[in-house]
Amino acid sequence: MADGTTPDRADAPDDAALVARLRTRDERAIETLIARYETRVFGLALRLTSNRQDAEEVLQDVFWQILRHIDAFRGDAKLSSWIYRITTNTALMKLRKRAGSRELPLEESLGPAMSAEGQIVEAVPDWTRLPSDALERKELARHLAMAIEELPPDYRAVVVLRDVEGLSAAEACEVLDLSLPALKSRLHRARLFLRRRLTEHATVRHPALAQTAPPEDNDAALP
Amino acid sequence: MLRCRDIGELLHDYLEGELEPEVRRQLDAHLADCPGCLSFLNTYRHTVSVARDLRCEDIPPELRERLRTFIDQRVQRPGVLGRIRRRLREYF
Repeated sequence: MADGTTPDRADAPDDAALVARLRTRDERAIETLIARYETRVFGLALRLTSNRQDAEEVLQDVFWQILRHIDAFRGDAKLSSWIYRITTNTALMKLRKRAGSRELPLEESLGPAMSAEGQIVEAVPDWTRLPSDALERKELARHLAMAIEELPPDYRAVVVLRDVEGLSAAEACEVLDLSLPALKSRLHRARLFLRRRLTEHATVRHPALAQTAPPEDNDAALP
Repeated sequence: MLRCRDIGELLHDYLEGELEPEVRRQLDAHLADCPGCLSFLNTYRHTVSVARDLRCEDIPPELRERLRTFIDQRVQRPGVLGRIRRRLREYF
């Protein structure tokens, strides 16, 4: 499925009705819950932990938590947000045990170098102008996945929820219990870091990119 | 008049299409005149776009199977009599 979910039957209950039936331990409701969310839970867990074994443990743990705590779900948030929240917290707990503490460099050093007046003072290679067969999207995605693994857990969670899973800013704030300014700031720094890693990869693959003319005279054709 | 340094703060709302029209106009004017910022924006936007390709579209069948087994073993399911009682409660 394009949206990462298993299709429901036409008569499948919506999330509110599903929650009501889960509270009675209805077996078909449990199967509907699993079929509806298993791909999203596993995908998020896998991207956050970068480890298939951990992701499977998170997957099982999350569904068991949902069933144990379904009576505590108040319904003022979307069921999907609640499930994303349980998944994120469970996966980040595993990740933090392994990842230790990392810091991202300051924003200023993640983007292009600036003058004191706030103007870009270095050439900025535009690898998006390369022909698609010179820098394949699959290759970029593979390097992006590796770069995401370098992110500290809090930054990784933001970028995975927003850019990989496609949650809205409001839903990501709810899942992560973050203010919108905090979410935007973290997301921007994470994206800067990932962009820098892809730029490094592109310039290694195509060294001529690094010789892109400085901003004042940036009309030179790319290879 | 926007400087290159101001662009970063605007990127999130720019990509979301949430910039005020006047700010959007200033940003577009800056991009038209600043190849460095345009390259920066192109690569930033493409990075965000490639991230979507990483979304998991399916779950391996053996994981599906093990998940159901795991849940089955833990959910205390009512026996036959319990199920009959529950059905009766639903109807009466």
